[in-house]
Amino acid sequence: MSATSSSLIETPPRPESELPALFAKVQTYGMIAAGLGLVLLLVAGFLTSWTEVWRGYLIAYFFWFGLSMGSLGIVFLYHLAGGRWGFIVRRPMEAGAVALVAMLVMFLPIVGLVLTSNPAVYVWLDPAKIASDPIIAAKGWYLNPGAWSSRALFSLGVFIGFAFILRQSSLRQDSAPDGDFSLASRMRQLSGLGVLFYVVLMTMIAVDWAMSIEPHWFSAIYGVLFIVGQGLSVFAFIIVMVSVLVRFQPFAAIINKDRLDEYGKLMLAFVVLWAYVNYGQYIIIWSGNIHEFTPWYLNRLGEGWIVLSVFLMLFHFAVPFALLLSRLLKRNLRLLTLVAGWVLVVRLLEIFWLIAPDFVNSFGSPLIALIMTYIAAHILLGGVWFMAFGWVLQRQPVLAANDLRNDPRAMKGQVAHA
Amino acid sequence: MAMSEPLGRAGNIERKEPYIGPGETYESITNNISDIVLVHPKDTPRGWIFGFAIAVLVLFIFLYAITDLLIRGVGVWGINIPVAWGFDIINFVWWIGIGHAGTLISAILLLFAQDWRNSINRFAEAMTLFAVACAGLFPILHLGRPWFFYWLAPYPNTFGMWPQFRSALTWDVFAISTYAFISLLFWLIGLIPDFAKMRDRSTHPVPKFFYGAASLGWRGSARHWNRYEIAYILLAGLSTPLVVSVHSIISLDFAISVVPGWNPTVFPPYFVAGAVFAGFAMVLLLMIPVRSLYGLQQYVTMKHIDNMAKIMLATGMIVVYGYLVELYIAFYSGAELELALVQNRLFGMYGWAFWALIFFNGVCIQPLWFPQVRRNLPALIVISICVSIGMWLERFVIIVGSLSTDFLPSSWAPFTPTFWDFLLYFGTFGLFFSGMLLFIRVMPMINIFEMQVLQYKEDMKREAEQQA
Amino acid sequence: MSIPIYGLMAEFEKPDQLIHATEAAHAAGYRRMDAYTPFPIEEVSEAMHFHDDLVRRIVLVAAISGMITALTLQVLGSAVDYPLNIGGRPLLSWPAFLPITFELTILFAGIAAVLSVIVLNGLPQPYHPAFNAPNFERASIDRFFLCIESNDPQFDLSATRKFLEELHPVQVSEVEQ
Repeated sequence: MSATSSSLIETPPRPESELPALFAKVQTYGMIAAGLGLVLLLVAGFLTSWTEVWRGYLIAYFFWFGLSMGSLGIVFLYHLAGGRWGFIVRRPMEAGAVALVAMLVMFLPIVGLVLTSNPAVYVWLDPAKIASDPIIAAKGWYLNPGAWSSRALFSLGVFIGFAFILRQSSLRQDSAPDGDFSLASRMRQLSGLGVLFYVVLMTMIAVDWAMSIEPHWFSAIYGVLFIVGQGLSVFAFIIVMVSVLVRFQPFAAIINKDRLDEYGKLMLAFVVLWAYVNYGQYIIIWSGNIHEFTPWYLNRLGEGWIVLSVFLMLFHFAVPFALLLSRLLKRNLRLLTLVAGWVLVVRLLEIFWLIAPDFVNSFGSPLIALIMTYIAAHILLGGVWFMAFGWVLQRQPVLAANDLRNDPRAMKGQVAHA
Repeated sequence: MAMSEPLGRAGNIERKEPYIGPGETYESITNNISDIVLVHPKDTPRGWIFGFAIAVLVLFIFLYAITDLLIRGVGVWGINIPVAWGFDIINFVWWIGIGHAGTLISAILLLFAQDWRNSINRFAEAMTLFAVACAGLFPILHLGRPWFFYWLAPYPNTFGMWPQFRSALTWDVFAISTYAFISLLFWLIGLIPDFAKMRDRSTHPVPKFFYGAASLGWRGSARHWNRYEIAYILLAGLSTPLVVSVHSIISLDFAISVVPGWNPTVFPPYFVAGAVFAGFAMVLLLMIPVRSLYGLQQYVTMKHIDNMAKIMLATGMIVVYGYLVELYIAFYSGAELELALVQNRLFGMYGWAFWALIFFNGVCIQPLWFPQVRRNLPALIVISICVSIGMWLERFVIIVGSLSTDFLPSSWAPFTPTFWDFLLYFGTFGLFFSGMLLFIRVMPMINIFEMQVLQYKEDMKREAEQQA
Repeated sequence: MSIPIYGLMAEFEKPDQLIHATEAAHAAGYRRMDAYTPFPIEEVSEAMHFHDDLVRRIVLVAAISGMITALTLQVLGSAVDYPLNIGGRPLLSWPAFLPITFELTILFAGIAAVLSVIVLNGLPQPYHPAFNAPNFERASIDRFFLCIESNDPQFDLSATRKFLEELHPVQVSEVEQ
């Protein structure tokens, strides 16, 4: 490619020694945000109701949990397929995956809620509903506090296990002797297994945590909707993160326009994939027009929600898609970062769209209260996430060494040559 | 601090196994591949003549089966009411799915900069074309009066009618014809520079004339190459969503209806994965014998085979995910209809087919987790045959299984294929293989100029390593 | 002054020699030149500073016109010219119109990509002077050629020949019109 040589930043890159301070700052700001978010959430709770706090919290949780899951997915993908783009972000993604521990802690309140059979979020916990609704009653074998909590904790435990073992092996690889392929092949095998667990358990989580909010409705693609969404979120996040990291060595030397182009293409692929799976579900339900399936869309196509639905079609798909087709945009750090930032914003709206209408239309949440708690919960959970992310990043080298497929020296050389 | 230490350590880059055998040059690549085609007709390998004779024989059987169908009508098949779609639609979906692997190799792997696809893309694209030709015949023959097939196209007509644009069957017409046409263009444009090589290599005036005409006077100008590469990558970018859309639309042929078992929302991606899965099985099934018959091990290495087996495993696992998620959601739903459907799938009239497909598609591919199996040619052939059978059975389960036991139990009826069903299916192999064998005989089956690109990259890599 | 030849053709053995030669020729001020290679080498067209975005633009226009064609066809066919109630669905059923719209977008764009590369490259072209160069049949196999054309303002038979010979070619030859 022609433009490899041109640097992405105007100012000379800052030295690598300044990176730990940056990560420490991320951690501190995360902590402040978490505290602020907690206060805001409590205030929102007093102003509205605790039911809304739980609901907003759960929806926001999906985003930050998804970001960690996406990071874990990237780690798996890197070990299976390699690629320079994955090498560059390998360590941050490992940190993002390990942040699942913080996400586990933040999930415990919801487990507590379910174990105490409080039907604030899940209507299938309400004894009155179980008694009056045969469909909910019939699902009792699957949707009950004990089974639900053990499935959730088991899944989170498995994901955390993979995240930890892969990070540990990766750090050990840094000091492994030359030509030692054993760790690399072990990580590859683990990742193959990991992808299986990821897809299967994530499907289950989507059904358990989200689909069961409206226990009458079901759709087989539902888990994939979440997996694709996580993929899109994480690629948008990677681009935003890279736009910061590229101001520092060693990233300034190895991130060039070709890499940026790759990240842009991958984000574009997920934008398209998102539209594809959502359209697939919609056209099947729209054409079949069966009363078991249509309520989900009727909830989202009436009463003001239609505005958000159309907005997402245009600004979650059409506009980012059209922009990302441009090769020039994908090779321009500032523009690509803007688009990625925008994608992150619409991701927050999309997750709200995916879950909130069921609360509002089926179980009578006041929309404004739900929005308030949703925003507060984002500040809290986002703060916690970045706190964990920054904390881990400070405690590991920023690039993997001894990587069998990507040698930072070779990558530097390539940049200088072209 | 992180960089300094590892940078001091050299020589720990994994020496990647190259995708082209050692000792090749630009000239040897051109000669070895083009010689297969430029051989004098009387020196044509006996194996080819033998294979072609059989393929043409089967092709005549196909024509015979079609003739009988045209004379006597679709009543010669086993289809009935309620099973109005039988072998014809199963074969249609099966064949078109096989074609998809070709597009995946030529387009998607190109976009992902997977250089190894350079060795197999031409062959796989040819497979796509002939598979689509086989597939396209079935829905047309199923029309009842196939000679009116052009009624499917939207054109102003004296009936004053238009096709029903809200029907997935009309979408099919557009999807399949676009797919066939774009695949043909992709294949042909890839052939132009190679035809120029054939023109320059041939000594006899007759092939020189024909290859010269087909090359359109290509002279390898840098300006031409520049535009050519842009167009090629654009075509790849267009074909990638196209191939996904084609099989998604085929899945919608079923999914937009309300037949039990036809409308899970996971159908579109699950059909696409199944198509690629079956397609890679067919590529392996064809490529393994061809590479050893023509001595192409230098160009289609074990590493290629290994990669293809990996993709087969990955797509196979997605298909298995599709089966599992359908069962899981049915159990989760607790809906009477869904549970009855599962009961029928697993233990009903065609339960045997379901378990057989789980065995062929789900169990048989598991050995591919082991690298030893992925590089064992006989094992791969056995697994590929299993997958081909399994994917055919999958469509059988979906189509016949669902139609024979619709909502109204009083209308349930079994489906019994007739001799003509089997004969027509068997006959398509004649069309497919005579096409493939002709292609191998008259066109370079490996993309020569892209192999040279691969060689160029290998040379550069080797030089860089020597300097280091 | 008119020179009755097409240009001077230098033959190289290795791709990097050609890349270097093309760079040198461009640096020396030559503009009307072309390189001939058996396979695409991106660095060569870069060395010539050749950029052509026309293919991309044509394809974009074709894609949009395919989209418009499909939408027009479906709206006219199912809502205006032949309105028919199908299972109670609206006449303008946009979800059902998307598949065909997508297919025709791809079809038009794909045809445009192939046709534009053929037409812009001036193909089919049965005769071209480059084929007169000795050994040129190997331009499609394993040799790399650089031709400086005689209509370049800087072209001078002896000076240009001297320039090319300094680049270590296998041979330099005059190419007839």
